[in-house]
Amino acid sequence: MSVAELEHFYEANLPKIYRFYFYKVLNREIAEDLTSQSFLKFVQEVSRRVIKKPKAFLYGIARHVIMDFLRVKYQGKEVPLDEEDETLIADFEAPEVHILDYLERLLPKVPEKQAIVLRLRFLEKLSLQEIATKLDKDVNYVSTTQKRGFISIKKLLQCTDVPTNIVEDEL
Amino acid sequence: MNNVKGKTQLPPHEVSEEELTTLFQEAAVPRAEFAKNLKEQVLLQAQNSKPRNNFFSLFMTKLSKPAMQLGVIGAVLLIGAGAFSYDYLNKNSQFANQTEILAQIAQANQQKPKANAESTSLSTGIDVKMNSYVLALENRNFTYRKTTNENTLGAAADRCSPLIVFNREVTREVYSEFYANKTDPFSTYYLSVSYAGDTIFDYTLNRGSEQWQHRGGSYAVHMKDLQEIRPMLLQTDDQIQANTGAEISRPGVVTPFFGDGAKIVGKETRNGKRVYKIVLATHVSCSNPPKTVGGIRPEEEIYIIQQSTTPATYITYADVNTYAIVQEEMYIGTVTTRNLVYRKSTTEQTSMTGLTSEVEKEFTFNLNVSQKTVDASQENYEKGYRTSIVDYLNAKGGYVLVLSGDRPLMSASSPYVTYVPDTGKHLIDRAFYSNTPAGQALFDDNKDMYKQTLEPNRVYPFLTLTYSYSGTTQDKITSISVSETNARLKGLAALEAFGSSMNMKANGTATLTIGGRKLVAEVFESFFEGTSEPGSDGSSDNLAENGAQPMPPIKGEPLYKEMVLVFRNGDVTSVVTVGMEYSMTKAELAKLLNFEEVSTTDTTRLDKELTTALQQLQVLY
Repeated sequence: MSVAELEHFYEANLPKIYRFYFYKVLNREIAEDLTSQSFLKFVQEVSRRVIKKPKAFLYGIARHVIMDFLRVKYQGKEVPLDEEDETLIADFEAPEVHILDYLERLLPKVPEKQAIVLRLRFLEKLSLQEIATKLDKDVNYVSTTQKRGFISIKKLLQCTDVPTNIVEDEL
Repeated sequence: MNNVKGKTQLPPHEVSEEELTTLFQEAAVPRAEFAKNLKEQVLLQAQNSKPRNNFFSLFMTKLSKPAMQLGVIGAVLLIGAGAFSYDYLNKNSQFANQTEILAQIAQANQQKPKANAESTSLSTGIDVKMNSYVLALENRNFTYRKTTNENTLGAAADRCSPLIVFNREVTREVYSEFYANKTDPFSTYYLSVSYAGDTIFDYTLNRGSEQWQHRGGSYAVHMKDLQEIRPMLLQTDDQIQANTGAEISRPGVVTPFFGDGAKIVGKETRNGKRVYKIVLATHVSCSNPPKTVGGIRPEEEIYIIQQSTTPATYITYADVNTYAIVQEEMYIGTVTTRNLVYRKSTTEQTSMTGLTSEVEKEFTFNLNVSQKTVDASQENYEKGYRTSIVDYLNAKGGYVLVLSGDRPLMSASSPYVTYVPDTGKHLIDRAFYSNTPAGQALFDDNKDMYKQTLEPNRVYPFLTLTYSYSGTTQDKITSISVSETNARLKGLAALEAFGSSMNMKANGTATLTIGGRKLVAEVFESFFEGTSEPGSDGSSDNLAENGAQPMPPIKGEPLYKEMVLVFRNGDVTSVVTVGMEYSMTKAELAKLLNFEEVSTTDTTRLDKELTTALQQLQVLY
């Protein structure tokens, strides 16, 4: 793979790989780390041998990397994967996004009172008034708590703003 | 709108599922800076990999047979050759002279002041002790300079702590220099202050022969009449080249500063400044290196350096106009937020100011803390050390051997004696350091600085006296060293303890005179394998019993050898090592070696004996 091809390949596949990881780990920093590992492993392999299906190969690496990560995290068993398995591509090209599932995974990490309100609001689909009634609280309390919960979720996802003091030169 | 306690409140806002979805979707897009950094790493790694044929194979698989039959192979080969030589990082022609730019950056930043702390070279991660700042003679375009470093520890700081280039407690360092004249090679005033948050961690102010030191403790020390601190003067390579005509290799400047393989990967505008971005991908060892012993790296540290296997990335940003480094970062593994070990951001402010009241004020000690004043001119190191040795021997009891006659005593030393000069007492005083864990750590680092490190299973002499050549033409002796210990040692064991047993062979005994008494000593003499005795043509027709040979001749120079005498006098073992002319015999030596026993309680006599020696003794502070 030439450097120019590699550059194009990288730009085309970075968003997909990153998104794949992000929805697995729901953490920007970890997703970035795993994405970096995947691409660097890919480059390492491409330099050593012929890769007939680079996209499938990359996605195979990505699945290996996430399995390694989860194995370390949960001390689980090895799961063998086939490299260059084209069926893997579907997972990356158009992944189903289940926002509420992701929210539910994050709720245990949010302060309890915020988690309660977020669960009632998004998973049980109650209005603020209904939540206030259920919790025997003021609506403003529920609104404020919901907003704080939203901020907590945002922090957990580590959504950081793009720095405004860095402007790239056109090369 | 509701009114609660007189204030107008906005209606409650329901966060919608759309807003929540947007939050996740935005987070699921890679950040632009992350994408850019990773791209650079990926392409750098690809560029550094070996040329491979799979590129050609990839192209070939895409060509149809007819195309090949038409000889497209030739065109593909040409295209392939072009692609092989394609270099993304050199796409922009302004980076074609990378080495020159990197050399300029290296030289511009070698002239910057550094803290009195262990720092780490950019390339190898080896700790480098910086005990003094270094200034190169330069065409200075300022009389005043203030350099500020803002230090940040990253999420991976604990994973590679030994390679952090600043003290972990220090969040900010400020160095200020003032030159009375633009062309002065040395600063007139110099101030270095490092902070741990808002607290002063380390303060040093130099004004000529005066210095103030404060380490966050209950007092500061003001030293007067110090020998003026003169940093080492280095010439820049350009100056060396101009002066000597010798060509200076640019890579020879770049690699030691940045490391092997550092590359400029782009330019950007950062905090309003146009900067080069320099990346070095390397491997390091994050293990704590063993402490050096006597300035020498132990073998295991060299092993650790050779076994550096942790991937690391160093990113440096340097001003495109001044070449000043504005930021340095280190990452373990890939360049991501969680892999950041540290970040150091530097700003610089210069001017051509004269000695205004404002400048004078900046370089005046003004900390709200009590001062202890030490007049260095009153310090008498020799007397202090001599007194310490005499006191030690007095407390120990017994006798020491002193050579009779007028041969000059060059040095006297004992590893069991610690002398702390007045100018160093504060460094081993706990109260000089802040009442924090960091202060304790600094104190722990310094508290034993004047003690000698003694290995537990080793025998040390309690006293060693060294005499020199007397200066007379008849004197065949170049030096005499007398080491004494209470340990019972004989023969080679004594040589191994206090001298070298290498190239020594037994040469019977000799009779010495001590305090009027005769005493027998074992004698050892140096030998050299492989050649015959002096004056011969190198033939081996005069072998000694065990195959050892005398010292080989050095044409036109007097020949020397070493003789060692080992004897026991009461409960003391003495090892006397003598450098002498080759022709001198042990019998001649024995006649010259007349020792006197001096009681350690005779402090006046001992003090007198040691006075001459310690005027020439170099005591390290």
